[in-house]
Amino acid sequence: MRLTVLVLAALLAGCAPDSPAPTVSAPAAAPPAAVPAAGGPVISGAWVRQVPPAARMTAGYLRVHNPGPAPLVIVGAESPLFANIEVHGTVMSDGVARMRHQESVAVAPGETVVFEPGGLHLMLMQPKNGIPGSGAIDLSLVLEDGRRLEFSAPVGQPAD
Amino acid sequence: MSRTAFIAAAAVLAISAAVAGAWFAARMGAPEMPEHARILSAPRPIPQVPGLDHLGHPFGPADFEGRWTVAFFGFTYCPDICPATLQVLATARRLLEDLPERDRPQVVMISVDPGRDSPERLAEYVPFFHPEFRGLAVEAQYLPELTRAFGAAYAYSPLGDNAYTVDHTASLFLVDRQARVAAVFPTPHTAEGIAADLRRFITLESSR
Repeated sequence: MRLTVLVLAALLAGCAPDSPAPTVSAPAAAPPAAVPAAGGPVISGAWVRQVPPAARMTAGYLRVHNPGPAPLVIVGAESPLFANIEVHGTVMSDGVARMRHQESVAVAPGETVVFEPGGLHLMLMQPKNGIPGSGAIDLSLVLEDGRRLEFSAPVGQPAD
Repeated sequence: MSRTAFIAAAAVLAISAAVAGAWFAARMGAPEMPEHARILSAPRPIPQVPGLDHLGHPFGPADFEGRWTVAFFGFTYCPDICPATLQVLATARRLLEDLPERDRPQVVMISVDPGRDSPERLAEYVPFFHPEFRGLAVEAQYLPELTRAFGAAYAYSPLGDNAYTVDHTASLFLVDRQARVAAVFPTPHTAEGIAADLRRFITLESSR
């Protein structure tokens, strides 16, 4: 239920009339890290699901915290290992799982948005050289203002 | 003794008696009921529709007979729900490894994507999660009859560069040894919950 609300909130945020581009103070010289500066977005708990070698796609999960004063709007993701990545959300209704493309996902100031199994996820498609079965995958979230939040996600299975 | 105190004392006594009764019944070996699965009041036989398992062998209702089976609907172009379900079931299956072979559940993923999931493709995918898991490929024309028996739904929606995704019921279905859909595990699923309920089903079965 919580997930549904989250995804709906994300959908609504996506439908809202274009808010002015977030005015988060960009770091002077952006270092290639997930945490560009104090007060910048924080990515944690990232992982990519280990799938059979024959799989054509997999899913990436993470938490995004926005400690800044303006909303953080995620509009996509990139990786050197995949030609196409989309933000998707799985919504459950009446026991039926429906996966849908999310145009954008907004992280409100002070909030954390969780990408997790059965909810929001990064759909990693068109692997350039197969999907790695181990190690870690370099990824970056693309923000509405053009910034990239880089992070590394280990490949594995969740501890259930 | 005031009237209120008398009622309170009577209530306490009644509750104690009920608790003692329940405890005694449990000690007497009354089998526990499943906690996660919803048991169907009328089990539904699996219809005789042609299908192939992931090795290309014919797979029909007879292949469900004699074993408990956890069956679910999925497809291999599903990056989120289906691998998560397979992973949970793989853990559940390992939690039941101590059972005799005839009581260890069979696990079958029935593809709702006949356009892309050939038996060969299922073979590349399903056994990755557990070597004994089986995939079932059914031609599009027979899927409605099969899913209806399970009470499952599926629908195709455009998505991403794969042209489409498949919306599908994410519940797990327990098929009994007579090849009848006997119970449904609604989402969310945990390996521990599924394994514990399967033990309860087996105990219930042997107590009859």
